[in-house]
Amino acid sequence: MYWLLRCLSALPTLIGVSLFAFLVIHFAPGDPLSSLLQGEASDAVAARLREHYGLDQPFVAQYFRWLSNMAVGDFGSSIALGQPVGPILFDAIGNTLKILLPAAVLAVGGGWWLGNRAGRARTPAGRHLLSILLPSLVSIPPYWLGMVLVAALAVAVGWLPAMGMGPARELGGVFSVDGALHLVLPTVTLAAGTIGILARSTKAAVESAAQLDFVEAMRARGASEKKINRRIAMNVAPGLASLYGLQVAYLFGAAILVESVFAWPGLGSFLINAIQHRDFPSIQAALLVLGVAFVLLNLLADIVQGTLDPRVRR
Amino acid sequence: MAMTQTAWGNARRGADGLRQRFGSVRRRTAALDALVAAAGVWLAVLLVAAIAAPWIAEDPNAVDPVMRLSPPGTPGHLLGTDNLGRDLLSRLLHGTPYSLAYALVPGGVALAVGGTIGLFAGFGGRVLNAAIMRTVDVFYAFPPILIALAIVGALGPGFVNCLLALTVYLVFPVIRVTESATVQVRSLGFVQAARLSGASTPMILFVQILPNVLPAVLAYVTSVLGIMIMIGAGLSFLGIGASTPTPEWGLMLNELRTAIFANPLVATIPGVFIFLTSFSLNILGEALQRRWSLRRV
Repeated sequence: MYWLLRCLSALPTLIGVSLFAFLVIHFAPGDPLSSLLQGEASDAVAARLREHYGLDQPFVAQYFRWLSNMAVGDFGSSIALGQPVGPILFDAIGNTLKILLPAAVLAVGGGWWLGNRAGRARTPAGRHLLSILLPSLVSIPPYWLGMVLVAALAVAVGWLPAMGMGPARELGGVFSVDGALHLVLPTVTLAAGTIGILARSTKAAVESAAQLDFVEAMRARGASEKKINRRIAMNVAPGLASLYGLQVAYLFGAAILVESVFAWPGLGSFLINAIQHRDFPSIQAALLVLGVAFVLLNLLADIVQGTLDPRVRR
Repeated sequence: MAMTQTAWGNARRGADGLRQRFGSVRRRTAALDALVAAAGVWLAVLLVAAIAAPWIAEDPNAVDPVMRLSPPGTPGHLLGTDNLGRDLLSRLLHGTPYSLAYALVPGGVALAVGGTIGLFAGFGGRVLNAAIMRTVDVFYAFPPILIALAIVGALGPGFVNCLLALTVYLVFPVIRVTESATVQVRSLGFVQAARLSGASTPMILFVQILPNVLPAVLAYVTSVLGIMIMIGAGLSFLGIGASTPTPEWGLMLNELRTAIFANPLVATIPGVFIFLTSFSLNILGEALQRRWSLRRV
């Protein structure tokens, strides 16, 4: 019953997401077709274009036509490229996933490990180091970190390729040595900030869980520190699940800032290209696909959390 | 009753902890304070630079092709020159106002607008609350950068549009934080006491609730200003923010991107400024949150 209600509660959000994706382009001053109608396009041409993109119809009709097209996988045609948006968009998302999935594993693992270590740190030196390291990870601009890593590991010592996808352009190439090497720098760059954010929250949770009575009780009973630490970790994990889910979803946003450094033909390049050409069907399609993906990921994270910790099912 | 017990328990544990490690606690705070002070000094220097740049720095757009990509420490070019031979330090100083604007403009506007909406959402009836908070939920369904990108995409590239995008990006979390703080505060004893003693609604809102909510919201906003600078500069780095030849830090970093193979040290210098500023604001925000967070009440 709880799950059903939780799923239903995502519906209004989904509708809102689709409205935002559809409407945002109409907030702009001027005509969405301005980039196509530069110069001396005749009125007849303009009218035909407007009809082609359905802009001659009322808003509500446009919205429903757009939404029903999206639902059956017709993502419209790109203004900049004159081709269907769908295949280009999904190719870009695929390329982003090639660095996003390993980065998610790295960020979740790294953030959890570092946060637990940090929450247990007792020595003043360790705590000072952490009080600089964690905010550094959080505030390091990913595009700059990418440049620094390229300068250090690709240009100076030449261990890793500086940019591009190499053989990783094909899905199978990801698993070749050269392809995997091309993934290293973008993945690490992408994960760094999220490791910092997750470690910071995990540290706070571990520190406050270490104050709970059960820790004192375990210590009084003579449990080993290792066992106590494991119990603390088990205690904080359910409360952090939805934060971890959200931060992993936010990696899509960070990827936009990272891809540009590595000339990675993913979602970031797709969106920047679309924005520079004011290619509204592409922007709308990307927003809708990503928005829906996030709502579903959030739902999944909530369900995981509800399973781990029944107390959150109010 | 239960609350009193917990409060006492916390106080007891706190006292024990202090007694056990009093020395180290004091040293730790001292080191932390030094870090906060350093962050404050860096931001103060930037503020001075933003105002004084026209007098203390040279022309940010004076090109000197002979001196292209000089390393830091070159006579006359303390931090070196960029790919057109323009003095990097002068450009960085002239770029300070842009970076500070990424933090101050969205921060100020979002605090005023989001704070007001959040206050009403938290204090108003259930319908108003639901209407506002469900709308906010929609925007939480996108990663924040994507909202900023969508708005720049709609309005077109440019520095002012980026400021607008960052403001919209920040308004929704501010509404959420203000709403939850307001809901927490309005149920506290002193608000009920004020209501029972006949205080009017505006009186309760502005005298009882606002002063207690504001520090928490202010601390939250400060803690995200660093991210705003990072993303603002990021939008220019992506080529959809400030346009050439503006000495904006993100744009400077972008223009130096190709220089990374020739002179990696110079190429990354604008990034150091973005990082230090973002880091300082983060440290300051964390310090404010430690002091002003509602959990302490």
